[in-house]
Amino acid sequence: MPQFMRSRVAGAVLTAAIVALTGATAYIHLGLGGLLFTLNGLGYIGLAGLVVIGAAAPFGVVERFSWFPRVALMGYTAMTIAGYLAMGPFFTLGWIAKGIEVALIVLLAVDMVRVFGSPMGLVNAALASLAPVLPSRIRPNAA
Amino acid sequence: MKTTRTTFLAVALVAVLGACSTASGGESSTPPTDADATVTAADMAFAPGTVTVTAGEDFSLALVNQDSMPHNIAVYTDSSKSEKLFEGEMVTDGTIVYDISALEPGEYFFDCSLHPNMTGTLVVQG
Repeated sequence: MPQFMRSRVAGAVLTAAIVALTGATAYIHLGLGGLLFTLNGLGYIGLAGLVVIGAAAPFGVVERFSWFPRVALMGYTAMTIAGYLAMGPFFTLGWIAKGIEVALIVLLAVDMVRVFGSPMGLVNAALASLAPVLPSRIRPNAA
Repeated sequence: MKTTRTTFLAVALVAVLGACSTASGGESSTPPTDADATVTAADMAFAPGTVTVTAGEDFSLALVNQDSMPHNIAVYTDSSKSEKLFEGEMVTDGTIVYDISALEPGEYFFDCSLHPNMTGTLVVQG
């Protein structure tokens, strides 16, 4: 990974782009009306809020669980795409939203690699954050 | 410097809010008069709930969308939606006229593909 990707500026730009894309797809879903789309849009707003909190307060428990908003937003976005492909309806605005969501997943993946180094690094960070409640046999660095 | 930044943020906020209010405006277009039947979508419901057309000939069905969100009309044999006969293009804040192939006499179910709670009955008279 290039050195500049590890800088705070790169992190801020990535976070801003992630929040912007999340806001865009939230706006589209809220504009569609109906309970399902409204809940979906509100879910995106909530997750964007968690991402912002993680970026604004990178210390303590927030930093320890910094993997969570990223993983949750990526999973939520993937589920939204899968739900759309399964149910439709297929129309222009729908595909625009899916394009935004694919870009969002790509940026989240880049951000995860930037912060955790690799998928295994992410898993280790998640396990480490949960260590106090994990059984000792799967606890990181367990003897 | 701080004042400049605050002013910039205020202007940006006003611009964003202005764009949002423009995008959510809900003025309707003039309904077409030459369609065989017309359905209006307003407040997340179709009106009238039942429209009637003539059997055995192709017909046109106008959808006047007065909501700010997209709607369409999809026609099925019945409310089980097991067999889709027609699915129209989405329209947002405007009017679209669908050309639908002739149907046998009977009652058909229609809804909005995005909002399944918006439903109606298409009566095809022989």
